[in-house]
Amino acid sequence: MAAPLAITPSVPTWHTKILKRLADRDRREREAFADLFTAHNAFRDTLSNLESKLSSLRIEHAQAVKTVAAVKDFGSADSAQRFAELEQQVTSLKEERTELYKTQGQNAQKLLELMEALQKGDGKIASLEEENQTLTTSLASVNTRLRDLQELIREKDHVIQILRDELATHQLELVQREEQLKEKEEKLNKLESENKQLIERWILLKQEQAARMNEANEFVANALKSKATSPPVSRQTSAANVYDDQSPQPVVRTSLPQAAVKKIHSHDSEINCIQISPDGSLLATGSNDKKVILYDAKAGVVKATLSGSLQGIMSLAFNNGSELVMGTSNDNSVKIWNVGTGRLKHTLTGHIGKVYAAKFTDSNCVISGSHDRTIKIWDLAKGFCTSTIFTLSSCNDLTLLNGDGTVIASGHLDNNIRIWDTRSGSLVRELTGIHHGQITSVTMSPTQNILMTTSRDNTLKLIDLSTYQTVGVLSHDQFRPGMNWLKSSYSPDGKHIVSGSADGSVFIWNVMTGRVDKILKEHKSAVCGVVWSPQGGSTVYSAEKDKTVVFWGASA
Amino acid sequence: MQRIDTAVTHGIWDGQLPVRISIDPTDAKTLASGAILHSHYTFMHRCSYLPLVTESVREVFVKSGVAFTGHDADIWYEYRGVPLKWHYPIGLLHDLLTSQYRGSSPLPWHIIIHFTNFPTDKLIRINAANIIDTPHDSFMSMIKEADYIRNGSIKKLMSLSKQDQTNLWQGLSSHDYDKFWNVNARLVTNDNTIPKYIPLRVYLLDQPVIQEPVAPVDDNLDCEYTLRDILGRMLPEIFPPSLDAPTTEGADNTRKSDASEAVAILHGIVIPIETPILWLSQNCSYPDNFLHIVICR
Repeated sequence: MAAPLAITPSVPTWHTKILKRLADRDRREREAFADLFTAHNAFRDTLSNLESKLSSLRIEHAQAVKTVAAVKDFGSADSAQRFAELEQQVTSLKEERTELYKTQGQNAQKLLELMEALQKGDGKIASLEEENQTLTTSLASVNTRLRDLQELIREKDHVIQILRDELATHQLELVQREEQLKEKEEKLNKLESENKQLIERWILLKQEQAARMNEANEFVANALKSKATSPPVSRQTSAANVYDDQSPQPVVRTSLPQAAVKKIHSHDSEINCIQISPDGSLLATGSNDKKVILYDAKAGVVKATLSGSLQGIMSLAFNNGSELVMGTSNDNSVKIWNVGTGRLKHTLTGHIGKVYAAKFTDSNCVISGSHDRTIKIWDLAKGFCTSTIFTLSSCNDLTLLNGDGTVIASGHLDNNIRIWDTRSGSLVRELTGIHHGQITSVTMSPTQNILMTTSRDNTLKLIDLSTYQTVGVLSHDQFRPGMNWLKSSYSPDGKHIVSGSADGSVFIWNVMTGRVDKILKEHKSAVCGVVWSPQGGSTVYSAEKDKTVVFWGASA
Repeated sequence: MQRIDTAVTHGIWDGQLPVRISIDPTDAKTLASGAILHSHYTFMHRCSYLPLVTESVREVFVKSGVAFTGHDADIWYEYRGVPLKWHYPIGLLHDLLTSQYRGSSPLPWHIIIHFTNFPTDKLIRINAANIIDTPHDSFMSMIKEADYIRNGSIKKLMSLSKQDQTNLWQGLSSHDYDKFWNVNARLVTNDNTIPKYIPLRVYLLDQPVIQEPVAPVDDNLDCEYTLRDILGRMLPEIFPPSLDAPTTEGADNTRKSDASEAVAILHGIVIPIETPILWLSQNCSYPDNFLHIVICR
């Protein structure tokens, strides 16, 4: 790292030499010239100053010479003045020209600007027109959309109305059920106390029976003593009775009615409906006078007048045992009377529209259809509504497709027929396009496979329930249903169908041929319903709007 | 361990060359429309570079009537038909181009200034965008090369702060000895480490520059090389190694006795041939850290 040759204490000669030579060099190169250069530069500066001064003086001189020459040229003061004036004129003219040029330039500029502005304006107008067009088209489309939306709103309003109705129905039902629950509880208490009494009575009876048995035993013992006196005949007789009971039902024969047997006026107001009991013994009519009148179906005399409805009766139905008759009312309720006592047994309230149809089922239920667009199923054992089906259209009539009413068919204001499963409340089938008018009645054929419908399109149609195909159309030139609740009927053997027209005629069609077999004329006003006696023969009952009930038979 | 010999460094730093600058006659005709233009006499620092004086020189000539509107980068100088390389120190230019006078050239040094026709085939073009940047970059690259020769890397230079690096150039261009040497001392003493090689260039008139790796000490002999050792090795035909005649006489005697011999000129003086090369490098290098030695035959 360290150089071994350190500088010796005595300064080496080369070092001295270098220093000396540097000094020599400076003397020769610098010191010799320093003063000279300074002086030279000073002189040079002075010289340049003088030169510049000289040049300015020269210019001054030249100007002076020029002035002198000019003065000489123009001589006198007058000419000088004239010259000055002319010069002034020239100057002013020049200025004027300059200004004119300027104005011209400005004008040209303005012209250009205006042209540009014009072009821009044209462009703007074009674009505005285009915009206007697009706006017009969009406005039109918006308008159409608006119209569509308004229509949609109207539809939605309608749906909302329906849903509100349904909601009201449900609420009403709820209130009723609560009330019914209370009633039931009270009844339960009552029944429990009754039960106790009965048990006590039963015990008493048992004791009595036991005493009698003892008596009987005694009697038998006595009888055995006097044995072998009479032969056993009674057993044979009882066997014959059993055979008679189990024999098949006699085939119901029907024949065409020929003439009116009897005419009855008993209502105070228009008759809406007529019904015959399943055993054929009772005839019932319902009227706008809020009453149901029961007649002896053979004798044709009034047996009872059932009241309790607050509005007109729209349809009637008997239960299978013919001990109950049910009327549906415009007061939104369904009333059930006991035929024997003539007392009101049930009032089924819950509908919020006129009730147009109701049927008993084998399972002790009632199924009712109303103009509030619902079908309700009522349990008579409990006395309240067990389920509600929303049908979306007012129900004009309904019929059971099987005995216990688990499948039903309903005819509606919207020309359609609907098949329902009442257990689930679901729509099984909607039959559309069959009729072109309101359905006034739906009836099951005695053979249980054909649905007969009556419509305000002046036709009756037969619908095969296995295929839902129309298998027959019944009509006549003069056949025109007179009201929305006209009910048609099958003859008990299913070979004929009977209905009535607005002009009072009663039409009887042959189901096989589809032709009208008979037209009966006796009524003066629109017929509201015709029923054929379940006992067959030619017994047919019809009712007209104008309070008359006609009993038809083979001869007068 | 070896300190800077400030007497010598000051002497070298303050070296000034009297220069007579004349305008090229062709330029005078075109730019000064034939007006009589006097020469400009001025001193130039031997360690400085021509671009650093161009501005003041141009001002003088413009003031005296030269209609020069171009860029200072277009200005160039010439001595006896040889364009002066602006990236050489002025002292080196003078010593090399007047080497036939063996250190006693006629003074002032008469050079010609040109304002047009820059000889792009002979001189490097100065970047016109920044007249000072190009000389600065050239100077810094020389210093980097010197550092690389000494240490095989330029870590020492690059580890200097930005301010120190700026001070090197500013000290040189404003001729501020303290500003320059505060930084330069660190470089030339190599932080008291003996460098691998000495940054040295040997110039002969009209011959290519000689640059070889020159070690300052001989590890085997364990002794420091002198200038003679180095030159004897580089130019054996000019400095025969066998010839061993250390002179102990005065400078004037030496010059006379050496009249027929070749001499090494640095900073305008004949360097005693027995001077150790390491000391010479540390004290007598140009600001670019190189020993630019001109050989006069």
